[in-house]
Amino acid sequence: MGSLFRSEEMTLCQLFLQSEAAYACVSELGELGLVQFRDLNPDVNAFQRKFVNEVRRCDEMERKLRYLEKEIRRDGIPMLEIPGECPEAPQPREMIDLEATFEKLENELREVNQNAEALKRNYLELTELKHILRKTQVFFDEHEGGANTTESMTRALISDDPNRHMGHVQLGFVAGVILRERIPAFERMLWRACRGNVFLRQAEIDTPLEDPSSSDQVYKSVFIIFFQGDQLKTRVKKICEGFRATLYPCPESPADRREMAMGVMTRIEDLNTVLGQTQDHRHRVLVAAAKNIKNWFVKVRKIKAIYHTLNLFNLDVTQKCLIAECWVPALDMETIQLALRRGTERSGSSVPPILNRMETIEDPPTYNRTNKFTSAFQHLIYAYGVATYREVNPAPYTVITFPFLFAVMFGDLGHGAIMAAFGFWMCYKEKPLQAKKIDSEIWNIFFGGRYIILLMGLFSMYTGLIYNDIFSKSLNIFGSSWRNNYDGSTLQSNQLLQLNPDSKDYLQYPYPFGIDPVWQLAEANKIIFMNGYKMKISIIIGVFHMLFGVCLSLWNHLYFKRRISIYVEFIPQILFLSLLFFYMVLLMFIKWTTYGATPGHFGSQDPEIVKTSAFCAPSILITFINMMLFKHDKNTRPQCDDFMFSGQMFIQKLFVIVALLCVPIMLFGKPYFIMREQKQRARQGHQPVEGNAENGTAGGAPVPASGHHDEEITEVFIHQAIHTIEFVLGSVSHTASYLRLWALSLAHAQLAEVAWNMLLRKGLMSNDYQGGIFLYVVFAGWAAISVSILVLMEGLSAFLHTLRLHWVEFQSKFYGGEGYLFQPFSFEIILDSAGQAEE
Amino acid sequence: MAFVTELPYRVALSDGDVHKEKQTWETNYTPIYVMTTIFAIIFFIGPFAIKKGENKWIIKTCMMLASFFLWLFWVTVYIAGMNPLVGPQLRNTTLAWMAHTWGESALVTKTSGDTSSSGDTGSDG
Repeated sequence: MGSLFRSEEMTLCQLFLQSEAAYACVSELGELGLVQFRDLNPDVNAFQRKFVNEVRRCDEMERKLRYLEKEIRRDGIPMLEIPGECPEAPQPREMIDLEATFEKLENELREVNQNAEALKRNYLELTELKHILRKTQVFFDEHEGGANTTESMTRALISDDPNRHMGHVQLGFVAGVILRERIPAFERMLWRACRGNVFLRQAEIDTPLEDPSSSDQVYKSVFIIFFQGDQLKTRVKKICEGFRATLYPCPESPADRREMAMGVMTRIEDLNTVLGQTQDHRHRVLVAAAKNIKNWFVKVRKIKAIYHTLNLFNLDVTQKCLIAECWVPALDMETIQLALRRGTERSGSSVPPILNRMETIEDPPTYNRTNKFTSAFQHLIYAYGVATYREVNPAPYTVITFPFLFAVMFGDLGHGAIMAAFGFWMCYKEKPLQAKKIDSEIWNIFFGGRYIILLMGLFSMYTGLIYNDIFSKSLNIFGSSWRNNYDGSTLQSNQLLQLNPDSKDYLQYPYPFGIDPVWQLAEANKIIFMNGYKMKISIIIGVFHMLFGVCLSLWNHLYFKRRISIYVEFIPQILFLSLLFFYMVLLMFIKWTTYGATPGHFGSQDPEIVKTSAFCAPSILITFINMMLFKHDKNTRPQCDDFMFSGQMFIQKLFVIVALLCVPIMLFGKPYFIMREQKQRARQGHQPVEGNAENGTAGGAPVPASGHHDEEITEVFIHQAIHTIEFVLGSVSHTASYLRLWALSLAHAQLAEVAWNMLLRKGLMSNDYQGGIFLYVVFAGWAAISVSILVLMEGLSAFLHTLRLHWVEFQSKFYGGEGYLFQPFSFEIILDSAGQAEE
Repeated sequence: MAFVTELPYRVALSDGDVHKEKQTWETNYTPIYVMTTIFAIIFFIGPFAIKKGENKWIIKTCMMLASFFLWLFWVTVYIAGMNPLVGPQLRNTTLAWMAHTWGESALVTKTSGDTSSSGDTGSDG
């Protein structure tokens, strides 16, 4: 049955493919995504496999594509998404065409980039030269000014010879450009190395220049160094080299300098034009590539995936066909045969592929066919552990119990409505939102769980109606069942008064749907009442949930033909849970129905009526504890009975004894039966040895399979002891664990109340126009807190607790969870994961 | 009606509907029957209404589980509220408002020796 009840039946198959047809068939199977191939060459190195060359070529193509993509992204060109269907994997001969295209594109792009870099370097040099020529004009003017300069340094360099009348001395100079940050160190170095005999002038270049290799904008300064003599010249040049300052030839005479400046300007203009054209060309190449790049990525990844898979195959003796082993869902054999036939036709081969079933004792993988609705819930279950092969799958029940338990903890009509609206919007706008491919991981988590969120919201609205809680206020749809009968004078003299159910205060019939709205008004003892009610409902729900879990284990025992387990595991477990905890649930219902006011006899002192009044209502907790301890306390109130119903003491003792008897059955039952089986098999073990030699392995004899049954008997005992202790102690601790349903719903209700009272109430109670503005502001605060803390934070918290309740309390009753996931060879999965890895 | 004279005191109900007053003396099981029937229909008959579709099984399971748990939740609240053992403790202002809006005028005087209950009503401040 191809449903979610248990995982699908899988068969191990052998696939014989003709070498020519192999590529096309694997391509078809990849599109189908229903086959998991096994590695038939596990000890072969990756570099020794048959198709390693093809894989290498694909890697090379991918590298080229990635380079292209990086360049396209750098320029900010949008890449066209693939319209419609994914392209199919291309034929092997197309691979050569693709390789040629990519090669050409890559070379072109590299060439263009190199040219652009060279041009930019040239441009940079010319620009720096231009700046130098401009700034040095100032230096030389000052220098030639001679007497006008205020720079004492200049004087010092001028010859002391008074006979020389030229203000011009034989100073050599070098001019260049250096990074601004390096100037101070440069100056110091020059001063030290040349012993103060050189003179540096510098001026900053205002505009930042573009570094050709790193495309950064850097600030540089022009400098000019004056010195005398060749030795200083070499020293200065070496220091400039060390500081990576670029030196430029600067003519001495102003006329030459002017000529050079003009030449530089023309060359700069020319260079600009060329640079512009180069960038245009590059842009055009990239735009053309951007149209197809996503397409190419898909094709290349598919080819690579196919060759990886082909590497897993075995070549048979005749070298003509490939053999593969794969896990296949039994129901899909037909579809796979069709796909294989399609593949053979496409490749033009004549020999049809053969798909053979194989017998095996290995554990098959677990495969559950889910649709978009159930897959989210299935993932929640898998996150804890993948189900053992063909074991009962908890996921379909999780579809309802998960949102329900969440709702018990979240129960608020208003917040539930917000959550349901959010979930509904995501589900309604599913297709457009999916097509957008938003990157944010948080969004993807929310979107993946959209159906869960929708269901949680809807159930929360229901429990919100029952708890009668909408943003911490109650609705009064049907009319409260409580009335006030205190007269005016009593009201005036007492601030707090309590209504008495044993009187006309209570109309003797409850509010028909949910909690009475009067309790929301009772600030003083609302929590006490709600606590009592919510704790009981938590235990009731918990006991039902756990009983359901134990019942699921029955299906497991039946399927795996463990009849003994039914008698020594399932029945004692059910008895233990029911006789103790289900009995407690029944006690709760009995207490609710038996004790209370008797209509028509309010406040009566008649002993029979007192026995069923609130005065005599026993505590269930004490009753239960006394039951377990076999104690019989006399009731402290003499008018009251010791018991809730006749025969209670006897029944309780009987239940406890039977439950305690279940424990040794659970502890020793299974090991005893296993021991007996082993002895029987040991006795018969000698005979079928000859029988097997005749029959061969055709019968699929159970003897080899029992290899893993013949465990040490001590291990079986230990195993069973662990299981029993886990169950017995677990039944107590898990039942108490369900009290988190009460705890979280209390926290949620209180938080909502605080938010209302501290925020919105202050706004609603303000007057006049300024009150309106105040309310406007306060509402924003209240809404922000409601959504962020109450919906988001509490929602996440309740989600986590519900998940724990399912994983631990529910699943520990029946779930094995020791399987491994079916991971089919599917292009969809490969492309998705590759797409995500990119981002 | 003769029924009224049996009471040790007179009370003024907001609407002198005697029929409704008579009802207050019996435990009203109608809501339980109604709700249980509704959920039982969904639980037992609903699955037969789903005949085709490849998701038959899971839809049926969801219907049965949902109807059971929702019914359980409702019926527990109802039974818990049927015979409350304590009443709400309210402020005098709230009580006055209740009397005004929901009936039972706060000005009704009662004869002494009236609703003294089993002793733990808080008439304390």
